[in-house]
Amino acid sequence: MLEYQLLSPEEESGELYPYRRVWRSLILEMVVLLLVAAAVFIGVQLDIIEDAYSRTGNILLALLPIGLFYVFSVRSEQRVAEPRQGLLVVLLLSVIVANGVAWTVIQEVFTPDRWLVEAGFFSRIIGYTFTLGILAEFCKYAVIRYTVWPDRFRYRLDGVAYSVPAALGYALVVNLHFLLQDEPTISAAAIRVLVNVYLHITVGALMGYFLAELLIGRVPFFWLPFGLFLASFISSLFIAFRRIAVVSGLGSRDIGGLLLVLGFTVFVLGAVAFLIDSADERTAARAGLRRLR
Amino acid sequence: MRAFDRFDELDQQSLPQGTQVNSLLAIATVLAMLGLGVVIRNNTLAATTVYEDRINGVTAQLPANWLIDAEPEDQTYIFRATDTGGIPFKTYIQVSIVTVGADANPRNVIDALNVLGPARLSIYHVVSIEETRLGDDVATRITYFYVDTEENPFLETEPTVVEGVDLVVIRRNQALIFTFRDAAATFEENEFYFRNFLETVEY
Repeated sequence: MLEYQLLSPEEESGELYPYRRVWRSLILEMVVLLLVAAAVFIGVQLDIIEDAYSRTGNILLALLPIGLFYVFSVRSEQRVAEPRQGLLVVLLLSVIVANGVAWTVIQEVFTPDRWLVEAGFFSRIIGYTFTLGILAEFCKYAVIRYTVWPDRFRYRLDGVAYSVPAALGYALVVNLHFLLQDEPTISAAAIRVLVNVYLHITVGALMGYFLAELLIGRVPFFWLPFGLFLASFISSLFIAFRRIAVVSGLGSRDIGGLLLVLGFTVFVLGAVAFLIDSADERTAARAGLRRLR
Repeated sequence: MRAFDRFDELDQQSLPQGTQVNSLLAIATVLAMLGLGVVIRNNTLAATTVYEDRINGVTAQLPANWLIDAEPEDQTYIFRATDTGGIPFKTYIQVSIVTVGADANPRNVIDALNVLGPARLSIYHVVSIEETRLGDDVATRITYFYVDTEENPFLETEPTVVEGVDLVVIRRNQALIFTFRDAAATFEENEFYFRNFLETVEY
């Protein structure tokens, strides 16, 4: 009598993704920040929160993105097989460079309050591109370029991963100076913090892509200068359109800027994600390798 | 087919060609852009617009975007250009004309201003009076400080120490008084507006 034996199908050896999912962490951080800002704004509209200046509240709002980054990114790195090193170093250096170099140059040399604030649309784009925009992008770029690049860069998304702490450090300095000097109400502070953080993360991610591509791809000799100019120009474009948005007649002057930054972020980060993904596909195809997803 | 996500497995032993050139060019580009940014800033701040007062025969280049008032209620000046965005004090350049005798000189007018100063301005204090020239004409310049206080008590603003300069030249039987006033803290920074004005004024 024949005996039949049931054979279980051979299990495919699944390959674990060894790195932290950059986009997932970033989206979580941005969504939670958006929810907090929205809660503050709605709370004020419903008279649950008093819309007054609160030094402590404003400082907490400015520090919130850093806290979210620590929870969703830094701690997540500890749970993966190949964690990224030096994220907090990049963050700290970015704060130091932004406060020690960029802010000093802005206040002592460029003095934008005297000429740029009242400038027209095109003058504003040109003025910001060649002063505050390029200064901010260069500071963030330099922090990454002269610390973790190229040793810590293993694949293209590392550019985005390291650009986030650099952007958060710069945004923290800008936000703290604004919140402590101008003393805005809590709702205005929440929206301004969100706008600044989104703007710097978005443009920083673009620069991160340029840095990663410089190491991994085949790029022309003007790749980095072009990247810095493009990042600076795009952030200036946002600044110029933001002025139109805040006077667009919506109920609150700040809500226009908030809506604009949401669209801007989705569009630019979507473009960066597409560029990185397609570049990875091309590299994998050229090398005859299979991508891990 | 093996999997990858680490590009250091792609036989890249050293940095790609052109990395150094890219990095150096990036620094050069940023320096060039920042330099251009300073030029744009300076040009924007120094931008002027021609103002012509045909009735009183005074033409000058005034800072662009400053508010020009040529119809004062009290007739104490013929025109005044004000930086309405100035904080804490709205910087201004003003031109006044007073009638003088045939043998008057700029110093006489300055002395009269000096006497009237304490009555017109709070805590008026003269720093210097010096002879100078405006083009080919003899001029006298007085530098002083006073404290500017907001007249509306509901605005609850702090008093501001203001530094002022009056420069007087004589044109036939008229004395032209060119005045520049700014917060003492920003006077040196903004004084170039007045210098530019004096270099271009025709009377």
